[in-house]
Amino acid sequence: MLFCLLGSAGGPMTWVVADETAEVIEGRAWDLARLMRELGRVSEAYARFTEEKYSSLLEEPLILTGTLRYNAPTRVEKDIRSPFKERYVVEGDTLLIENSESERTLSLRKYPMVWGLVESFRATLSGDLATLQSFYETRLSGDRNNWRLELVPRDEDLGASLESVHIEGSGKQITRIDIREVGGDRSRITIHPDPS
Amino acid sequence: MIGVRNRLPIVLWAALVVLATWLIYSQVRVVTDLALFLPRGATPVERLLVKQLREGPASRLILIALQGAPSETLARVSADLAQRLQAGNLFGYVNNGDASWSLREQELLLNNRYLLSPGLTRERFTTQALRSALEARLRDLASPSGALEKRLLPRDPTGELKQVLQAWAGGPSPLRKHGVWFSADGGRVMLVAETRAPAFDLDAQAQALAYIRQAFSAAAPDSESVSLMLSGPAVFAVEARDTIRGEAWRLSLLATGLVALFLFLVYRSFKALLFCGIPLLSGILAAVAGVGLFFGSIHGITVAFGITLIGVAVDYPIHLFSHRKPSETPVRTAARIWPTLRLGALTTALGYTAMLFSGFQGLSQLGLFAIVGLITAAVVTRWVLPVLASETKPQAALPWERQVSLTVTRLRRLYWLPVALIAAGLLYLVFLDRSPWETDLANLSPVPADRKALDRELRAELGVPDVTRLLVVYGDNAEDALQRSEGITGPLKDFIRRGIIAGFYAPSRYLPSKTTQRQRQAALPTESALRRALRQAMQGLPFRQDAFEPFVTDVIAARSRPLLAPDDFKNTGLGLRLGSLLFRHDGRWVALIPLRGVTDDAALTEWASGLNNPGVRYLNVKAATNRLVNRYRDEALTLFAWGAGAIALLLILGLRSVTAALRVLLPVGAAVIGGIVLLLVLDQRLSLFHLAALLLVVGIGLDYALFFNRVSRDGAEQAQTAKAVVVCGVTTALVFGILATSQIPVLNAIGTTLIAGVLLCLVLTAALSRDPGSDGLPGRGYTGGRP
Repeated sequence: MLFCLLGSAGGPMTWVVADETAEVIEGRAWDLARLMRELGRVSEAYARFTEEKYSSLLEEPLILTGTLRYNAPTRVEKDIRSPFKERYVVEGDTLLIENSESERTLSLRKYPMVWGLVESFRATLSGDLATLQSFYETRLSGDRNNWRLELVPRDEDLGASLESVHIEGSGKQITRIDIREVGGDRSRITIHPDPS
Repeated sequence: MIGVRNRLPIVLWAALVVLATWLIYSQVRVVTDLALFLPRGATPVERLLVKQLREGPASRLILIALQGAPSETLARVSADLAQRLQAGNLFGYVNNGDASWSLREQELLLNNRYLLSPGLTRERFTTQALRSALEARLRDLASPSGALEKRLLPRDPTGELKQVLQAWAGGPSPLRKHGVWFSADGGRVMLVAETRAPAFDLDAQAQALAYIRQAFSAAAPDSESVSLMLSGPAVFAVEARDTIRGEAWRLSLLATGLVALFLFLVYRSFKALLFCGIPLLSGILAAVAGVGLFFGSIHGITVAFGITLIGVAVDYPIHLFSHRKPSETPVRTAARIWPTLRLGALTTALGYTAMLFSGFQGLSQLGLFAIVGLITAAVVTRWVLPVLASETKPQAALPWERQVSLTVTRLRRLYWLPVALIAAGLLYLVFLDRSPWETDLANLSPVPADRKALDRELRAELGVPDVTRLLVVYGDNAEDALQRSEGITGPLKDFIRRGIIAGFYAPSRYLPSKTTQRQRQAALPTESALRRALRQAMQGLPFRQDAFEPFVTDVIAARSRPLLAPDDFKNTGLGLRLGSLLFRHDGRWVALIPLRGVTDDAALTEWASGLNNPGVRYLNVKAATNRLVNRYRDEALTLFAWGAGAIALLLILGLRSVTAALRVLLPVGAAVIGGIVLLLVLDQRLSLFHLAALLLVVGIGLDYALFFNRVSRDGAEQAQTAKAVVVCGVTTALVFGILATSQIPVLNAIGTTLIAGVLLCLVLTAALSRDPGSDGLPGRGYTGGRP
């Protein structure tokens, strides 16, 4: 299982069973709304990631590894373990950036570019289609077990720095995020199954 | 029938009323610049203080707080409100914590970052320092805000711009949530706005406050229970003015109603009632027009206080109607009492002439207002009113007239009272163990204590200096002032460590002196040194070899960049901030360093005076303002003393007898001294407002005394005088008794003084009144008005 999902109060097993039942009742039609509903039922998630960052400033890609944690509906934590230690926590409107030397917070509302980038991931995780579509044009392809969601910024300001975000996944699990910036810089985040 | 001979004054009067009304309507500007009533200040520091009070940035600052809703709602309203305020033209600076500089400002700071960055030294460019800076930038690159930082990364890998922005951002900033300032408990959002209009322009300030309230109701619809709180000097000043104005208006209406009722009970005639108002109203019209013409404008305070000062004019028609004999026409009565009325009006007016020569336009205006108003009222009572009232019937004797007359006769046994009171009063004053003066102006402010507490709270939360304490640093030019400002930052930091101050805002923090800028330039490495250090620092990091070329270019360029001067910040928000702390005044340059959280005044005073540097002064604004206004009071007091002397001289000349003059002066003097003692016993402290009220007591008392000492032929006439004076006394007591019930210190001061003074005047002038059996006072015109 990728991006290991943990159940809420009822425990993982109960939750999975309930979900399968719901799917049967709702029928076989699978679309973005369905995907979002399924994602929205996830209340907690934890996984390891590897990120490759390509930049015109860099001779070779920067490889980052660490863990990701999600708590519904708004908290996302990215904990970088190597090549340096740094932790980002998004919660509500606040982004906390913390490392051994400093700790600072900034307001997402104040930085629409950062906000947009954060929501591409967070709104998808929480199944918040309205928020997602307020930032991006969405296009879903593939099937339930192997889907790909393409996001293109609607807003000019966001579009000035961000070209697109592609999210791939299987069922309720996100497996890969590709971020392309204007100017050619890009990064690929791969989410691994094993959190240990 | 009104004869031709009598018609002329009416026509003239009517024409003058029309003319004055037209003048007032078309020519006279009513101003509200409080500075007219502020002393100019004797020393440069005092003049600076007055300037700061009038138009300084601190006095233009409005603190805004919103509460009562969830924090997301508050943050949204804060952003919306800030945007609306910025859109309006009334505010030069608005900040809700979401401070963002304009592109031009960012560019200015970015281009000059190596000159402006605090603590820029050689160490910044060592291999080691560059290495840790680059590592930090690598982290930035990976962060979600990386895209944001990346733009400047090749130019500014050492993060110099951030340092500059932090310096400009000012003191401890409040908690930030959702991108805006919140109070520490998270219950309030907070904003600051600086009006473009100077603080003394209360109308403009009121307009700015109204604009904020309007913008607020647009930003926060009623459905969201957000409440708005405003604070700051302008808010206090406008509220104080409105409170005083509203209360004065309300109480005056009440008093006018009561006086009208009382006068109607006495005269039983609506006409007579109407006529009683004519002299005073004519006097006010003439005074406003006169002052307006002479000075070009009239101050709102002049009008308000002027009307109080000439309030004695209400007594003139009362004297006319009360002295009218059963068979007499009003014209005849007027001619009969004119000499007394004239001497009363002249002496009172003379008392105010001293004010004409005051150095403060406010006092001169008041003086002219009172003189023109009084003379006009007297002339109207003499020539206009009697003709208008010629059709009215003489008033029938009232049942209590005899009783009053008897009381006056009995009071005459107390002839020793005025002298005794003067002696006792002077003794009391000599042995008074405290200052009779109100030295703390704050006690006269009608701003409630809880509002002041809120102001302190908001200031503490926002880290805004409470502007009551600052250092004034003088220099021959901007550079000199900045250097001196830099020169004392060391001791100031030491004061912070010792807990004497919590913080300071020196202009050199925003714009370093050229000397410092030059030192920073000298600290920048040569191109080859920089390249060498950079190459070593980049080893093992994934950055491209040429990634930081723009950085090298910028550093090299900065080595020979023209140094920054205040003018470079012109027409930007930065310039506004800088200009409030560094400016030209009185031909010299001044750097102001506001201090925050001062705990030890004495230590700072001692330090500043021991500096051996006359260019640095410690200024406790509140104490200095109080000193200034107290000197103003002392000048007013001197002028009043000259006025009193002039009154005495005129009385001696007019009555042609020192004894006769003494009979008039003693009871009035005793009433003034008695009034002062009474106020002090009642635990009031005397202010300028009490002094103004005492002047009115003098005017009223002189009239009473002069009428009580007229040569009257019989007991009947004496009874008329007694009645007239009592009616005058009761009307005055009614008006000011009602004013005395006010909780507003200024109105209360005037009311209490007048009540005490007028009641004393009634008793004391009666005690020294002339016995109809004796020969009375000698002097021209005291034979019943015959030519």
